[in-house]
Amino acid sequence: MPIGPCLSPPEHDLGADAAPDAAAPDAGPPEPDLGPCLSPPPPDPEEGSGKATSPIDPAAIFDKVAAGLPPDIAARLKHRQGKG
Amino acid sequence: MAVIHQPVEALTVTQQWDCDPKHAVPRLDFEFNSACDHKCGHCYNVWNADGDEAQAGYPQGQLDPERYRAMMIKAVQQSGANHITITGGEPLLRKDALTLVSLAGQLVDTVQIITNGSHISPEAVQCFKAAGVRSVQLTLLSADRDTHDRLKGAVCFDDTVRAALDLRDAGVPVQICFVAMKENWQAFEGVMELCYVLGVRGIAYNRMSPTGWAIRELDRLLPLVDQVEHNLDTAERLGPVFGIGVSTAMPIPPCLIRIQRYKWVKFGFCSVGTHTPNITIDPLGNVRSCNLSANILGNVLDDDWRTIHAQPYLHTFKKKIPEMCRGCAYETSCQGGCKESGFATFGDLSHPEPFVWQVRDPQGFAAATGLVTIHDPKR
Repeated sequence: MPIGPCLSPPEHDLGADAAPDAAAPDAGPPEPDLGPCLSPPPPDPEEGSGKATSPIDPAAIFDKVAAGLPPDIAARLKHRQGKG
Repeated sequence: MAVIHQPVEALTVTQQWDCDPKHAVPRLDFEFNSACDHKCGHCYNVWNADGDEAQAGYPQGQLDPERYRAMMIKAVQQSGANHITITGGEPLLRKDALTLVSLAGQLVDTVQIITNGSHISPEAVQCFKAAGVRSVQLTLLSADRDTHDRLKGAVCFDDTVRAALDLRDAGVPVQICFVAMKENWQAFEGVMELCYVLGVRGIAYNRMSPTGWAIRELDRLLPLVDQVEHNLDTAERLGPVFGIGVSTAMPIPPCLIRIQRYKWVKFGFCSVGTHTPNITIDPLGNVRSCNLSANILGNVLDDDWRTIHAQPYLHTFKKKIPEMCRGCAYETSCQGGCKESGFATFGDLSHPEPFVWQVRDPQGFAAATGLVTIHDPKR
């Protein structure tokens, strides 16, 4: 049984009229010191910015993933990859 | 806002129902059945609770096809819902599943299907496409076949990957669910790579939150906060590179992980009691506040939706907050994480759920569960 979202689903799962208000914290940002369990301060600006920080090698990723797949599936993916 | 539904044609059920805007909800989850041929240790289905467990005794069974269709129509029309999520059990094990998927497509604008991926036949793919299914959610717990199959309790990895390809090739969007557990959290990066190669562009990131029989698996499966944070960092790093959106599908309490660090990963909190609740209807038509809850609010066939939606459980739920969370800046939004998990594990909605409690009160957690967790202070 796969786990389903118990939260308001991502916006693309609902129409624009039903934007999930639960996804937005309604109490603002937390205080600087919420307790001993907080993770460390934010990383350098380059990290966590939502932007790509390093190029990827699609062919290398494909080869790595395909090695773990059944031959028929790997062949389908290869065919698709060949189509660009 | 009232939703005006068009009459459903070509159905044996002719009765039409009115929606009271005061009791309208935007979405409903339908559990088609309780049966499943996978045996995931992390399964949250409440009917799997047993013995003296807090959620034990949940009624099982399912309506016959005609009554189920009548139940769906009444629920959607009275609630005004315009989105349906189909789940289970494994929904495609129901013999009339594809008929019900088609009905769902007639009743609402958007339909999502959550399936274990082992029953995506060519007929099912075409049905989903014809019904305009918005997305099909499949689960990948690892890019390694043996690890995935072991955690799923079934030989299913190849079927799942094949299903993802079949659906994508037919133009039906696929979303992958990853459930982070102590035994597979290190597999997340590999799953992201597999999604990238498969052309999947959305991941629902779950951290295991025990309800149902999963409360028996705390020692083996409950992830540590550090492990979840590592995964979120991976999602933040690779998501934009791969073009894969990542949304958390279980609450991540901000006292444990500083969620505002993340720009790519989307977070949410429990939706019970909000304007977009995750109200769930079981195979018998019983209504619950979410799919992790065992508390029945009423039955669609027996009760009027207004009566069901007015049940105090839905409207007092947000006030039940663990004592340790009082005064937190996120008290009213986070509410301490997944309170149904707190109930399932410890018998009290106001009890800290295990993921939170193991860190915020490790001594109390160890005394109650006999488990000792390790929190790396460097993270």
